[in-house]
Amino acid sequence: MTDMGGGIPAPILDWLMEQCAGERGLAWAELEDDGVRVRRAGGAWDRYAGMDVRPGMEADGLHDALAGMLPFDEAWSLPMIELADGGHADLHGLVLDGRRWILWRDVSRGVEAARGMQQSANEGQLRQARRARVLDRYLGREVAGLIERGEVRLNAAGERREIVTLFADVRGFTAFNERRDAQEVMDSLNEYMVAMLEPVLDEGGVVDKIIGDGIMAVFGMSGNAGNVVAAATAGWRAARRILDGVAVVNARRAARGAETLGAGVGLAAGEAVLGLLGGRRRRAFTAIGRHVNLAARLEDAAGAGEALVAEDAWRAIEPRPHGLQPRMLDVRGIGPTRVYCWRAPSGALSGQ
Amino acid sequence: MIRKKVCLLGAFGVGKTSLVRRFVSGIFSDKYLSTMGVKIDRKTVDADGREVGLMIWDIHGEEAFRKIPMSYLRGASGLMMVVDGTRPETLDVAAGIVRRVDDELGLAAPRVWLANKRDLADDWALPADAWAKLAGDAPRFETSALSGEHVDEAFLALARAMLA
Ligand SMILES: Nc1nc2c(ncn2[C@@H]2O[C@H](COP(=O)(O)OP(=O)(O)OP(=O)(O)O)[C@@H](O)[C@H]2O)c(=O)[nH]1
Ligand SMILES: [Mg+2]
Repeated sequence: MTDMGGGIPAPILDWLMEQCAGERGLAWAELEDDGVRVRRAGGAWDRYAGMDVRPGMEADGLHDALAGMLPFDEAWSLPMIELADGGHADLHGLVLDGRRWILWRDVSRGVEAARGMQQSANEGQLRQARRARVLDRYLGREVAGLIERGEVRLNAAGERREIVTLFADVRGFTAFNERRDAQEVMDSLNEYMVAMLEPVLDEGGVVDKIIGDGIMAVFGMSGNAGNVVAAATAGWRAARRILDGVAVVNARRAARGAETLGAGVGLAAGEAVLGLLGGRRRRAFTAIGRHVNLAARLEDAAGAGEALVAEDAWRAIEPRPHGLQPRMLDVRGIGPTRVYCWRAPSGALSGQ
Repeated sequence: MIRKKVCLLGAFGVGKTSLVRRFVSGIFSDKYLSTMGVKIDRKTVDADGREVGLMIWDIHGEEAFRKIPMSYLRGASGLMMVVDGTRPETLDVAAGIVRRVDDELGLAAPRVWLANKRDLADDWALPADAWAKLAGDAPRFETSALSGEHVDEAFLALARAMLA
């Protein structure tokens, strides 16, 4: 059995000292009784660029970090002071046997090792705060609440769920944009955006994205999540209200002699993965799935004042809506697809 | 010339480093590089005809597992408390720091309070009452390191308060 009682054996102590002083760039200075001037100095001062330590000099002139620290009666330490070369040192003030010392220890390596962790943790939290604000602003309290209550998990892995996706946009906006001055375009866009966003939020939908002159919204996120009937019914109501709302906007615009534009809507149901897509400048929350593409394509194919509803979604709507025309549509990337077409009564059409 | 040590304190990411860069070098970057430990900068200001050499301690942000060592504040003549006007939770962090400064150091150095990122108007969410209460009698500024709005004024106000 080894002797457990004694202190650390001298060779090991020496080795430790060597490690400490050599590896870590240990530098020291003993101070005069005034606690300010250097009596003697040693160690790896050469490691600290530009620092020239000589007996008789005032130690607080060595580095700004020492300003206000001298003289001292109690030990202190200043961890991780950044040096001119970007490295870091821990500074210590020691009182040993009535004498005062200052001690510098190069901790650059440890700081570099810790930097990645701190950076990504803080960056992550900042990003999360920004994300919450964006969600709040664009997606309304609804989503912020969903996330807070954990009903939607915001992780990159995503969560699968049956949802209904709606796309809507303003037809002919690009051309309008080119003809008009920026302020008029902005005002008009806002007018139409409100007409598209309000029905979605009213029907409990979540605005996933605002894409230029259009929106993507999903239903089935909250409350009776996973209930496709409820989701499709809400989505359908929102689709009709969007077309109605745009008709009202157009009537208002026509009355003041402004150009009118029509909106088109696509609606589809299916499984989607919900979650966050990373990226600092990207809108984080999104739904991804085959039916999402289908809904986008249907919106593309819809004429002004039209809503195209995919069959799955149509079957789920309760009560089953009347007045929709079945149609076979050759959807790019998907193939021939059965859809139901709703045409809003006049008004919602573009004035062109 | 009079030399004064000034410490910037606040939660991480509120813009302490950006404020110092704006003040000292007149530049801004939207890239976030979280401060490790402390970086000390200098700048001389003219406070009503008196030159003050500021030694500005840009200290890492306070976090639950990375508290600001109170030893950093030794010898400080002024404190610049910074919150992020778009993140109300950073007011609580600042309040916690101030409490530690008062309890552990009893440091009577003058303070100024900055609510930073004022340029992010859409995201501005500074709770007026809590903000006023937190700052108490100390001067308050709504700043932007991005635009430079009120940054010089804030440092100058602190310099003046330290001379008073
Ligand atoms: N828009 C805007 N962004 C700012 C402003 N000030 C800082 N930022 C940004 O906010 C992020 C954090 O800024 P920093 O200055 O590094 O924050 P800090 O308080 O020093 O952070 P830590 O060192 O981690 O405590 C960076 O991406 C900056 O570009 C501002 O006034 N306006
Ligand atoms: Mg910083």
